Amino acid sequence: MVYIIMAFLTGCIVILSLVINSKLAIEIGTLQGALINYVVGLLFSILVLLFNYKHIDTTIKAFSDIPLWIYLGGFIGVMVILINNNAIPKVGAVYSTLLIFMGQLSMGVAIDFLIGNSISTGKIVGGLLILAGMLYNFHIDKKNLISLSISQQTNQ
Amino acid sequence: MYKLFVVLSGILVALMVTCNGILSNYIGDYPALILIHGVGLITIIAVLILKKQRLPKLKGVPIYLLSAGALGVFMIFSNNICFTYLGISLTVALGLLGQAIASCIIDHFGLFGMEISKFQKEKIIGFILIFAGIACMVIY
Repeated sequence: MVYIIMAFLTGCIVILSLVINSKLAIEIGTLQGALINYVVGLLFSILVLLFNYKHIDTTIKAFSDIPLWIYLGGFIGVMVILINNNAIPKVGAVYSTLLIFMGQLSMGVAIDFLIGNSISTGKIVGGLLILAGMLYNFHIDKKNLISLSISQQTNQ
Repeated sequence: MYKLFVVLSGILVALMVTCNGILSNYIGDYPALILIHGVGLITIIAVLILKKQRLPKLKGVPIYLLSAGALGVFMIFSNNICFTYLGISLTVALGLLGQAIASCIIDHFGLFGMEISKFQKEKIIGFILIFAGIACMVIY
């Protein structure tokens, strides 16, 4: 249950950091903003490590056991920033949100299936239900956007 | 075409959470944080050089705008732990719910200087579907 709440809160914080990032991007540029985020993030991680150094029991051997592609997480993060910078303005924010959710959710279910964590009909049905809910809300957002722009046009 | 890229970006996020989660299991949660940020930092520096971008000037930038990096550390840390206990689909699904609700709250009250756009009551139906989906994932 703790982890369920934690995963949920993380989603909330994602939005918070998106808002902050967009403001930082206006001030100093998107890529420059990303650079600052990684610098601050790295410094902060080092701080966190220093406060918890007693709990670390990482051996050099652990590193040699890791497949190389596992290290790509940080690299992929930057690629996501680059793609989003170029593509989201062309597609529109509301529609992009839906497409990103679809990509994440279907890939999530697929990965669980591939690494054999646990895949069940419950996960697939659940994923489809979530998708249906998001599509429905997207539809309402879109309807409002259209009526908003029409009312703005008639006002002018 | 751009739509495909946006979907790809979502796919990559799921892949990223998986990579980071597995890395965390190998070398521990805290060392993984440093490694992930280190690799990301090297990548973004390479991108800045390749695109011949200037370094940022931080003069006059309010300090709270720099906090997103620290939030990022918490996000990655929490995702790594949740990945281990919940698997990737549930971690992603709960994160998406959190995102959807947080953005509705921010829009409704116009927090952080965003434009106010009131919550539409019809959207409750969508949220009920999303909740049902997550319950389905948790129970089965």
